[in-house]
Amino acid sequence: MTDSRNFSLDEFDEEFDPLEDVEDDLEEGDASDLPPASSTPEPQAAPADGRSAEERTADLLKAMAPRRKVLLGILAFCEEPQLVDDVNAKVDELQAHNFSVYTAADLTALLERAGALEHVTDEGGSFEDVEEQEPEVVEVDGVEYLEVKQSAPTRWATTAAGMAAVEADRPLDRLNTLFAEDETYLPIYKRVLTLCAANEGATIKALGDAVDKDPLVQKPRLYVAHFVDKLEKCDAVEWVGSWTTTEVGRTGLEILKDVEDAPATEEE
Amino acid sequence: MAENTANTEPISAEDRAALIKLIEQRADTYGLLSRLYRVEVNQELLDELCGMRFPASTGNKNADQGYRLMATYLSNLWENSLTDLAVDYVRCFIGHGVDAYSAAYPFESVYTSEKRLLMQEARDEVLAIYRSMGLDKQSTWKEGEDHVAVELEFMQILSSRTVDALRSGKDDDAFDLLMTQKNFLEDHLVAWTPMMTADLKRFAKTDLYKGLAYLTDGFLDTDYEFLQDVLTPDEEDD
Repeated sequence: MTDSRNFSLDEFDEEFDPLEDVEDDLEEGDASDLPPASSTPEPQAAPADGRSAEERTADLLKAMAPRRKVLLGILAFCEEPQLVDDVNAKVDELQAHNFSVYTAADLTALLERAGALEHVTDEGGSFEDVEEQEPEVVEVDGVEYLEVKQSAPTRWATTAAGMAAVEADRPLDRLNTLFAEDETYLPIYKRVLTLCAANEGATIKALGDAVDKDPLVQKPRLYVAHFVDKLEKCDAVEWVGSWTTTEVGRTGLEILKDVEDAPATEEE
Repeated sequence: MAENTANTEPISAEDRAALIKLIEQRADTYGLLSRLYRVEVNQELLDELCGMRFPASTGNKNADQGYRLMATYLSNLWENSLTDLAVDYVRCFIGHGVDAYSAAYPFESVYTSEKRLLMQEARDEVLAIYRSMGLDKQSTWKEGEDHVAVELEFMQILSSRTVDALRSGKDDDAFDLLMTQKNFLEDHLVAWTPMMTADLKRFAKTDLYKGLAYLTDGFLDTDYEFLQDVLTPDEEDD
């Protein structure tokens, strides 16, 4: 039970008279004269949240924009109730190339608090309604002990508000809007998407070599990271060890097929 | 501090074995409590706790309540319980406020200094006592020496030393060690931890940490009674 390897205290061999300086003061540490612990104020309860589950979910996705794809990935995965362990593994997979301090437990807890996920039993009932399991009483040599009972596995299920958020997420619409707003740079977007569509994807250096000297990005001065970022927000490219064009990005390339792109040569 | 007066009465082999067993159990319990206060629960500890048998009826109301709360919590674990416990540990012992009333701060100095400050006289006192027993903190321990985990660990180490002394037939040494433990409980742990556990009961959201608060109260009371009892010569012997 005890772990003697982790002692906070070490053996101390030096001769030392510890009470030399403090003997006269020992009584000062007596807590009997202190006010009772009830002087500590009661913990404050969180104020009630009047927003609907849809609003809370939308606010969460907005507030956690860098994790938006992972959050929506969880919601899509849990359209059918999934074992919590499988969801945790799925989140690890979704974040494999995008490290985050947010673990699967953190993200699912945030989604649950927003009303986008529901914690359910293996049979599909609400986990909150499950009656608390009492430990088992066993008798050993005439003495009664409490033994811990094994808990049943549980699942995460996406709620109606969560599914609405998944359905409302239209990356292709965002990509079309981007193309419409950034018409000047369509050749650049096409070039980035084409390079990232290669089997091995593209490094940011390769993308920079192809874009950063183009006359289009000289005034105002823009660098390739700006375009990659915009495409990533539309789920058109993703980082999987290299920048890679997604299905949405490939559809975007189809949209841009008539855009003329003549990359600047080294001499230019 | 009480004066050390060795009990010269010989202990029978049967009594010695029973006493050793009892003191070993005390050391184990001190070790468990110390570990629970020291850092968050990890998977290894959680597995260990789930494999334990908790006494159902110790004769102390608080200890029984503590064990029951902990065993019940452990019987209702789910896949992300470790995260729940980590969050609760921070809520209970670290808090998020700056008013010195936002958590059950696990330091004797906080509860025994007027302005609830760290590293006050209580820390100097316990440090001196540790050193008198040939102990000092490891360099990896970055908190004050009056952290409840360290005070509990000190009791665990002295209990283990008592077992060694009894096994070697050094009964006078064992008596001195038990006396030191009784004095340490009286002057420190029993004096201040009830204030911390009262806070812990209010800040904890999980029954594991609520149970820890009750168990700490119950076990320290029981242990103090045990030490008073074992260090008081029987009337019949006089």
